[in-house]
Amino acid sequence: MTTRPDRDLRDAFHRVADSTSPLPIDDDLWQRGHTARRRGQAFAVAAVLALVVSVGGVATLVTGTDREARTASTEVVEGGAVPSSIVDIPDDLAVTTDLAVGQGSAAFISSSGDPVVITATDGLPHRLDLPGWDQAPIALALSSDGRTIAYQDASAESGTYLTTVDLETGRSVRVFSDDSQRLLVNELSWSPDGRWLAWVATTQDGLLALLGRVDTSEGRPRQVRLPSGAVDVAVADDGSALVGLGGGGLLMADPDRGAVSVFSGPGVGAGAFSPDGRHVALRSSATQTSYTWDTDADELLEHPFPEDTLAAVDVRPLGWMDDQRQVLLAQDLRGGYSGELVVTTPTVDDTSTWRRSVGRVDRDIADSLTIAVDLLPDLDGTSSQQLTYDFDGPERDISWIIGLGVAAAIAVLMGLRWLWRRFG
Amino acid sequence: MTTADRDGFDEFVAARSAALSRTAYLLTGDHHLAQDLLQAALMQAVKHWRRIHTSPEAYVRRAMYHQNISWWRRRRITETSLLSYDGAVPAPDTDLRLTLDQALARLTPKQRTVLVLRFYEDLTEVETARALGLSTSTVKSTTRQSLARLRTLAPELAELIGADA
Repeated sequence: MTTRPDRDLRDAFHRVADSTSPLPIDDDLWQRGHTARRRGQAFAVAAVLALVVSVGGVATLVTGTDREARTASTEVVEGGAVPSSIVDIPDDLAVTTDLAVGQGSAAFISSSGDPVVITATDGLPHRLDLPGWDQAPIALALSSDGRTIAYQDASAESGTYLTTVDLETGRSVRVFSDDSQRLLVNELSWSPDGRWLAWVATTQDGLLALLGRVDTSEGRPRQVRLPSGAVDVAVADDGSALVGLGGGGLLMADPDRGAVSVFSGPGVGAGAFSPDGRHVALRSSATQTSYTWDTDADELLEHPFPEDTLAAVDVRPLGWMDDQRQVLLAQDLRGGYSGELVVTTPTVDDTSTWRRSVGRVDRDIADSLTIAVDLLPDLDGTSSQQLTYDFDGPERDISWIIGLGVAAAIAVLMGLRWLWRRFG
Repeated sequence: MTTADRDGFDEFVAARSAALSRTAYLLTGDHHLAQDLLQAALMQAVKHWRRIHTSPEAYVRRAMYHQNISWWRRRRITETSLLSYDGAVPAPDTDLRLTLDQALARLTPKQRTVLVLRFYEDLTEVETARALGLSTSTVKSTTRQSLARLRTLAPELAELIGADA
C-alpha cells in the first residue's frame, strides 16, 4: 500500500519550484536535435556496415581461396598424390583408432613420437593408434604403393615383433616374432613391389647385428648374422638385400645366403632398390653428389648435383619412380636440416634427370619419413610438371578466427553505442 | 522532419517550458545544470518527435529523470562521501525555501529525484518506480532514507516532513 507524502512538504516543494524562473531554451535546439538524429542514423548505418564487414571478413577467412585458410579436407585427388609439403602434425590432432584410413602417401614418426600416415587422396594426416606402438623412436615404414605400413610392435615386455597393417582394411598381421630377445630395429625397408620386408637390428648390448627378411605374402621370416655396425638396409623384389655399415661399406645378401662385402669405403649406406633390382640408391652425408650402387657391375655410380644447387646435403633415398629415376630426400646442413625431395638418375648422361624442390619436408620428421613413390606420376618431359600435390597442409583450426571476428563485431557495436550515447 | 513538426515542437516548448524548468531545477538544484538537463531532454524529444504519439511532456519529464540519474552515475565516482556532510546545515536560514533548497542539495541525485517525483510530481511509489526503472521497494527505502537525511540536515523541516515519513 502506497503512502501519500506529507501535504506540507509538497507545498514546500511547490514553493521552491514556483520561485524558479523559466529556463532559457536555445533557439537552435530543433536544428541541433535534427542534426543529432541524422548523426545517430549515420552511426546506425556504420554499425550495420561494421557488422557486415566483420562477418564478411570472417566468412572470407573461413571460405576464401587463400591457401593458408583453405582446408585440406576440401581437396580430393583422384588416385592419390604425395603432398608437396609434408609437415609435422599439430599437438592436438586426434588419435585415429580405425586403422583403415585408406591408401597412404607418406608415413613418419611425429616429433611427439606418434606414428602418422598421410592419406593419399585428401592429404590429411592421421595419428594412428597402432597396437603395441612404443613412444620411443622405433621403426615405421610405408610400402611403395602406400597400402601397407610396417612397424616394430612393442606390446610384449620382451621379444621382438614386427607387424604390418593394411591401411585399406585396417587388418594387422604379425610378420615376425622372436620371443627370446628384444632387438633394437635400426631400420625397416620395403621392396619396390611391397612383397619383401627387411630390417637390420642389433642386440641390446650392441655386440650382434642381424639382417631380417620376410616375404609378407608367404611368411617364413629369417634372420642372418651381420658384422656389428649394420645401420641401414634396402631389399629388392627378389629378396636380395644391401646393408650399409655405420663405419663404411656395403654388404650384399642374397635371399638364402649370408652377407658378403661388395664395397668398402666411407660415406655411403643402403637406400632403396630400383624396381628391376639392378641399382640401389645410396645414402650419403655432407655431399654434393648422389650415389648409386650398380649390382650388376659392382660399381659405385655418381651423379654430381648441378652447380649452384645443393651443397653439403645429407641424402636419403626414398624409392624409385621407375628403373632410372630415384627419389631422394636431401637435407641441407646449412638450412637447419629442412628437407626437400629431389628426383635424379644414377649418372649424368643425355637422358639423365635432376629436379629439385619436388616437395618440402619438415626437418623434425625427415629422418623417419617414407613415401609411396608409386603415387608420383610418370615424367612427361616438361620441367613444369608437378610431381607432388599441394593439399595446403593439415586442416586449420578456424574457431579462434570466428571467435575473434564476433568479438571484434561486438566491440565495434559497443563502441558505436557508447559514441551514440555520448554525443548523440 | 517537416515544418509542421517544428511548429508543433515550438508550441510545446512555449507552453510547457516553464513547468519543465521547475522540475528540472528541483531535480538538479542548480540553474545551469537544470538548463542543461532540460535542453538534453528536449533534444531527445526532437530526435524522436515523430514517434512520440502520446504526451510529449511525459516523454520529456521521463527523459529528465533518467538523464539526471545517468549524469549522477557518471559523476558519482568523484563525489565526496556523504558522511562528512551529515551534520546539520550551519546558520539555518529562516527562509524555508532556502533551507529546503540547501538540504536537497546535500542529497544524492537519486534520492533527490525520488523525492521530487513523490512530493512534487505527486507520483505514487509504483509510478515512481516505473518512471525511474527501479523496484517499488527501492523507491520506498530511498524515500525513507531521503526524508531521514532531510530531517538530519535541516531540523527545522521536521514539521514539514513528519515523523513517520
